[in-house]
Amino acid sequence: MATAQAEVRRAPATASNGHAPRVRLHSEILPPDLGPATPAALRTSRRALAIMAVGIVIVQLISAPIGHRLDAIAHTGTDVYSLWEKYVTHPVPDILILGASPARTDVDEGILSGDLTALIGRPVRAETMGFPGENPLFLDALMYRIMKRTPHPKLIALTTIGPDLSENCFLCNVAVNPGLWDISDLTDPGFVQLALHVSPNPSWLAIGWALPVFAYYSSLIALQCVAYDAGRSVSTKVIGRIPRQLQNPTPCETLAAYKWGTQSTMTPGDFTGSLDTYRIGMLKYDVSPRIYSSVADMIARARAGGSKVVFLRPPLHPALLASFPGQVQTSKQSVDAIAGQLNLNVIDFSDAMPYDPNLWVDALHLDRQGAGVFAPQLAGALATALGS
Amino acid sequence: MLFNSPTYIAFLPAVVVMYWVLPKAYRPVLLIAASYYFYASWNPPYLLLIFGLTLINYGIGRVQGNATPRRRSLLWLAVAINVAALGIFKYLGWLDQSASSLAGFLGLQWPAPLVHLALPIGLSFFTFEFLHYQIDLYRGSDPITNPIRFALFPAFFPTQIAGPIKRYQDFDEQVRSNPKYDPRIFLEGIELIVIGMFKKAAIADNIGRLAMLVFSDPSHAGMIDAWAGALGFFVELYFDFSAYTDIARGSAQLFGYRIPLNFRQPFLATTFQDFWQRWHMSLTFWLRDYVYYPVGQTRLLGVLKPRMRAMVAVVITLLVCGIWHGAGWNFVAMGLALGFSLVIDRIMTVNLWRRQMPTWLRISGGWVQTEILLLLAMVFFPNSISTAFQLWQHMFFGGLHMNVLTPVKFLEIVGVFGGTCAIQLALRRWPPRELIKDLNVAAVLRPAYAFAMAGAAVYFAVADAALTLSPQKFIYFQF
Repeated sequence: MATAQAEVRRAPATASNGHAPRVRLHSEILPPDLGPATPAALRTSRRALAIMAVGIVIVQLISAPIGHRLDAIAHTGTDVYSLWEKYVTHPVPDILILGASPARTDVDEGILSGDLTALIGRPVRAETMGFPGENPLFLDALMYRIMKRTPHPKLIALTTIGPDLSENCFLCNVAVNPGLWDISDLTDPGFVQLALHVSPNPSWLAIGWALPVFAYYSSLIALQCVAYDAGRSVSTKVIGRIPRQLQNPTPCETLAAYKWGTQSTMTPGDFTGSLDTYRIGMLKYDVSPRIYSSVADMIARARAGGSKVVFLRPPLHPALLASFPGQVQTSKQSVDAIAGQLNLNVIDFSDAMPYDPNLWVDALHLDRQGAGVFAPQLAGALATALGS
Repeated sequence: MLFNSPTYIAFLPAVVVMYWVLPKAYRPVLLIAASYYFYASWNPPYLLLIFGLTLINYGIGRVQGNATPRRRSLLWLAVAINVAALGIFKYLGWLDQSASSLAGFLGLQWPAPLVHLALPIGLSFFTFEFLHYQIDLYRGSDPITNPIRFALFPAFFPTQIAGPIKRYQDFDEQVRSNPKYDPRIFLEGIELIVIGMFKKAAIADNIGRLAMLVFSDPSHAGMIDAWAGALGFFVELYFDFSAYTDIARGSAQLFGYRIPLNFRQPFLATTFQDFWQRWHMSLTFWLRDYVYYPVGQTRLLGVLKPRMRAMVAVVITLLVCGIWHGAGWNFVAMGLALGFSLVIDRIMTVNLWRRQMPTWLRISGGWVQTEILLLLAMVFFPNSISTAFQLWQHMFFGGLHMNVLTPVKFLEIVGVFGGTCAIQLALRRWPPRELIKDLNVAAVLRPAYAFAMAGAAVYFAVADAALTLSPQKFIYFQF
C-alpha cells in the first residue's frame, strides 16, 4: 500500500468556497512530462505521423489483394472471392447449384456434368457455388450479380440444410458482410443499395468498403498455414521428417474444404463437431420476414432472368437425422411452406446417403468419394427439373 | 464495445476525426455524446444509471461548493447514494446468495435468491470517481460548475469501463483549457494503443490459457504446475490490465487528454509496499487517500500503538481493495491475504532485509519474498476459496513435478515473466525514446515500430478469434 512516504503535491492555499483545502493532487499517478515542445521534437512527431498516415493508406490499397490471396489459401480455393472469380471468368453453366458449403462439398462438378450430359444427350455443364455459412441475405445479393451477367444459367438449385434459413443462426449472420465485400461492385448503385439493405450490420459493411483493411484483416490467419507448410517442407528436406510440433493441423486444415479431397474417413471429432454446429445453428429456429423476403427476392430475380429455380435438400448423415428428428422436421416444414408459397419444387436428398464414414467429411458434408457416389442420383433429379 | 474489437478500432478514429474538425466549444459535447453511445452499446437501459448518478453528484457538488454549513451531511448523502448504487448492482445479488446458502446450511427457511441484476460496466470505477469528487469538495476543493464539463468527468469513454481512476482537478483542468493538437501527444497515443493491443492479443490471452489449464484442474497439479499456474495468472493479469490501460491512455491522448498511469514496472518491486506503488496505481492512491488515511486517523483505532494502527489500517484498506474487485468470498479472502501479506512483508523488511547485508542480497531477497507473497494472494482472484486453498496445498505439498503443464508450456510462462522483468529493467536503464530522439531516423523508426506491433497484434487476435469466434474480454471489463 502506498503510504505517506509517497510524494504529495499540495493544492493551493485557499479555495473559492472559503475552506482551507486539504486535497492531495496525486503527482504519483500523473503521466510523465513530455518535455519541452522544441521545434525538432514537433517536427519529428509530425514526420512520424505523416509516414504513419501514408503507411495506413498503403495498407488499405494492398489489403484487398493480399486478403484475397490469403483467404484462398485459408479456404483451399473455396472462399467467396475465388468462387466468384471462377464464375465470372468461365462460361455461364447450364445448371448452377447455389447455397451454403454443402452446395460445394456434396457435388463433384466433373462427375455430375458427365452424368447430366449422358442423361440428357447433349453437353451440360453444372457448376457449384457453396459458401461456408452463407444464408439467403448474402445469396440475394449474389443472385443480383449473377443476373447482371448474361446469359443466365438455365436452372438454379438453391440448397438448404436448415440453419441457413434461420434468423438466429449466428455463424450464418457473421458470414454475410465478408461475403458481400468479396462480391462487391461499388460502381453499381443497385448493388450497393441492395447490399446495405441485406447486411445485418450495414455500417460495418460500409466501413469495410471505405477501409478494406477492416474487411480483410482476418485473412492473416492464413500466414500460420503458410508458415507451417514452409516449416514442414524445410524440415523434411533438412532432417528428413516433420517434427511433432509441426504435425498438428493448421487452421486451414481443419476446414471441410481442405478435408474434402484429402481425408478418406470422417473422424469422431469432425462428426461430433458438426453435430454441435447443427444443434447450435438450429437453436431458436426462425425464418424471419427478412430472410423470407430475401429468398423471395432472389427467386424473383432468377425467374426474371429466365432461370428455373428449385430447392435442393442435400444429404445429411443418418446419425444426424436420428439425433435431431424434431429440428430436421421443423426445417423441412419451413422449406416446404416457402416452396409452396413461391411455387417451387423441392428435391429432397436429405436421407439419400448411407452411414458409411468413408463418404463423409462430417455429418453435414460429403467428401469427394461421397460426392461421386451421390452424383448419379443428383443428375437424375436435376435432369428432370431441367426438362420440366 | 471491447477495446480490442474491430468495432472500437472503427469507432475511435471516427470520433477523433469529428473531434478535431469541430469548433473547440463543441468538442466536450461530442465527447459526452460519444461516451454515452459507447456506454449504451453494451446495455442501453443502464445509461440511465450513469446519467442519474452524474445528475445527483453534480447537484450535491454545487450545493457543497457554496460553503453551506450542511457540507458534512451532504457528503454523507453523496457517499450513501454512490455506495448504495455500487452495493445494489454489484453486491446485493452476492449477499442474497450468501444469505440463502447460510440459511440452507443452518437448516432455516429462506427464499431462493431473488436478485439477478447484471453488473453495469464501469460502475466500480465511476462511483469511485464520484466519491473522490465529493470527498475532495468536502476537503475544500472547488466544484465543477459547468454541467457539460462535469458530465464528461465520469463518462469519458477511454476511462469509462476500467479506469484509470481519474482525479477531477487534473482532468477538469484539461477540459477547461480545451487541449490543443500536439503531434507528440497524438503520436504517443497511437503507440500506446498498438502496444496495448499487442500486450492483450499476443501475451495476455495466450498466457491466460496456460494458467487456466492449471486452475481448471488443480487436483492434478504438481508443485511446479501450481506455482507456474499462479505465475501465469499474475503475468496474464498484468498484461491484460496494463494493455487496457495503455489503450485507454492512448485513446485519451488522441483527443489531447493525458490521464493517470496505472503501472510502473511492477515486476521490479522489491517490497510489497513498493509493489502497490507500481500496480494499479490509480486505485492504490485512491485507497490511500480515501480509505487508508481516514481509517488510520479514526478515533476507533486511537487506542492502538501507531505501528499496530498502521497495520490494521492496511489490512482494512486491502480488504476494501479485495471486495472492490468483485462480489464473492474469494475476493474477501484475496483482500485479507493481500493485507496480511503486506504486514508480513513489512515485518520481514524491517527485521531481516534492512539489516547489514550485501545490496544484491537485500534486493533479490526482497524481490523473491514479494513475488511469493503476491502469487499466494493472487490465486484467490480467479478461483473459488476452496480451489485457491487446494492450489496452496499443491504449491507446498504437490510434489516436485508437473502433471498438467508440459515443459514447453512451463518455459513459456517463466520465459514471458523473466523476459518482461529483463525488458522492464532495460527500459529503466535505457528509455528507447531517449535513445532515438536525436536520431534522424526517429521519424521512420516510430511508425515502423507501431506498424510492426499492430501487425503482430492483429495476427494474434485473428488466431485467437479462430478458436473463440470473438475477441477475448479484458479481465477488468465488467467491474
